[in-house]
Amino acid sequence: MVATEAAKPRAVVGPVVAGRKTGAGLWSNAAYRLRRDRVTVVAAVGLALFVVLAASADLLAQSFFRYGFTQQDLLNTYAKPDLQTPAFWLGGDEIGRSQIVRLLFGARISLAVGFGAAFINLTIGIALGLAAGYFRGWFDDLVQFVISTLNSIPTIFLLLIVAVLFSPGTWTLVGILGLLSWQSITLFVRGQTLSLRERDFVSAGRVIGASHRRLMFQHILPNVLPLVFILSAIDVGGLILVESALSFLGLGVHPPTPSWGNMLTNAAQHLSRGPWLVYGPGLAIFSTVLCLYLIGDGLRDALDPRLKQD
Amino acid sequence: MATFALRRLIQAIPTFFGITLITFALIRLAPGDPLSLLVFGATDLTAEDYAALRRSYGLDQPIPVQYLSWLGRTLSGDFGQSFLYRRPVIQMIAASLPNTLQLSALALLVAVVVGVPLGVIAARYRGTFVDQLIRILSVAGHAIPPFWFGLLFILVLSVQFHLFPVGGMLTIGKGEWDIADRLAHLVGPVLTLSLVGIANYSRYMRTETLDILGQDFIRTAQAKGLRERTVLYVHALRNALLPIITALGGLLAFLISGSVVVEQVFAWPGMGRMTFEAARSKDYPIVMAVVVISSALLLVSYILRDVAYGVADPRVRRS
Repeated sequence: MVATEAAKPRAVVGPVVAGRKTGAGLWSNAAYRLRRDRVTVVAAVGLALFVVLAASADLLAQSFFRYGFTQQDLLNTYAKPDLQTPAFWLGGDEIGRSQIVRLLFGARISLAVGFGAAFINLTIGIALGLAAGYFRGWFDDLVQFVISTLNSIPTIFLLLIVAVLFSPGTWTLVGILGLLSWQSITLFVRGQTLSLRERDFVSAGRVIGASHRRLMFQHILPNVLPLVFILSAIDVGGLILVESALSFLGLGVHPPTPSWGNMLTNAAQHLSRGPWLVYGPGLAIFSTVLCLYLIGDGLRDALDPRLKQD
Repeated sequence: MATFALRRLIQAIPTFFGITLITFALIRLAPGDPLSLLVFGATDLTAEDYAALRRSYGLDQPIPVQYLSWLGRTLSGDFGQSFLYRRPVIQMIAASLPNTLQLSALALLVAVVVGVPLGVIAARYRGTFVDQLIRILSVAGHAIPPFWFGLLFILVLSVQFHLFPVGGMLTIGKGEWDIADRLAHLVGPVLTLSLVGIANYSRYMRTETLDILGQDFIRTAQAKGLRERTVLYVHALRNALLPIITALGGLLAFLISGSVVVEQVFAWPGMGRMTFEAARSKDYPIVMAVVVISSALLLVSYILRDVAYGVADPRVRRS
């Protein structure tokens, strides 16, 4: 109630900015704008669909497709895509496994790896970036040095080495990807913190004797977070791409666990006999990553319309 | 300018040592014996022989000593021998690096030649259907897995329509200087590798061109009656070219990383493929050499980028 009353005079003084409700906070404003951004809504629905499908992979495989993801059927090797039997909607592979069921379980791996590793990135990035930007000095120098060193080594070689050395399971893979790709988020948070710490509201906080922790987490962090979420949507997409590339090379998720990447390795070996095996997994990676990137773009426009690119 | 370049060079030295330290630490942290591949299948190896072998590789020394002696050898250009092929690593890299550079250089060229005009066109026709299309293509270019694009290329253009070779660098039996044959082999990998670059450049150029087009000197140029094309391509483009240099850093790193996957898909005999095979067979000397050399290459190109940026934009030099 107080908010709406306080908003009234403001609305009289100046013209209301298009797409902005007076008196609403950052998030409800953003939500308001997001609902009007058709591309982002479609992308979000698409991503939600993938998540739901991945989550219900077990259920669907059992009760609808009636086909397990490791189940083989030597009478159906290289089964062509066929609308009659649900399990072979997208065809079968060289030992008669159902492509569509494996895609569903692959979605689980890809999304888990993408979101899991992004969570690690986010945690490291926020902690290091905030501390480096706030305290500056030797700690900042150290963080910057580590980042510039890591950025100078082509990521794929680091991943190759680590993947070969530790021959990871899915969860180790999440850890490896998360621990090797936190640089850009850290740099971003650091940059934002550096400029925010000089702002008046932070100085005011310092003057009334707020602790470092309070200044960092109550004053600075809330101003950095929205922008970091944009980055992490894009980050998840990038990580899914990296995971699929690693799995494609045979260094990520190992068969028989299906992942979109290792399904493509398989498809590449059977290009001439089962060309349809190539389409599904690639399209799945492509559309998931596309949704995430579009959501990132949309979030950026919604949270900070000044950055809007047209 | 010279001091700027020199300062940038000096800054790179600790980074280079950091790189060698990380590389060495990773390999030494590896579970298992680094010599396992070397002694594989040698059933008549006695414990004394093995100890002698360890000593000859310096593996009985403390780790810091091992690091320093490896670093010393690396800096003097001695990367040791491949465990698997028993050939000097430097020879193997010298044979495969040019193939990779050929690929990356062409991909970079395609990215600039295609991406920059796309970005300018998008800015020129901003808000129209053309702009929307270019933006969608640019997001799609980022989101498409390169190895999948490569597979589709092979599946459709090579397997079904026989327009391009399925992979490799040269057709057996044709000469090394058969340009047409070489180009036919290059189309797939270069196109695949350049996708991200095209997407990057069209995006950067759109933002930058829009920014420039809003400035006073553009209005002046328009006001004195210059043709629109002149304003766009002479006045605006020249000033909008900085992002080409800016984006170069990330793109170079991507080109090196991307080459591993693309070379694998197209069976291109480059450094990426060699490293991948070496990593899989735990042929450590090759992997370590490649990491150090490619990181050094990257480091040098970062410096060149910053210097080029300093030349193009004098404001950078002062900060």
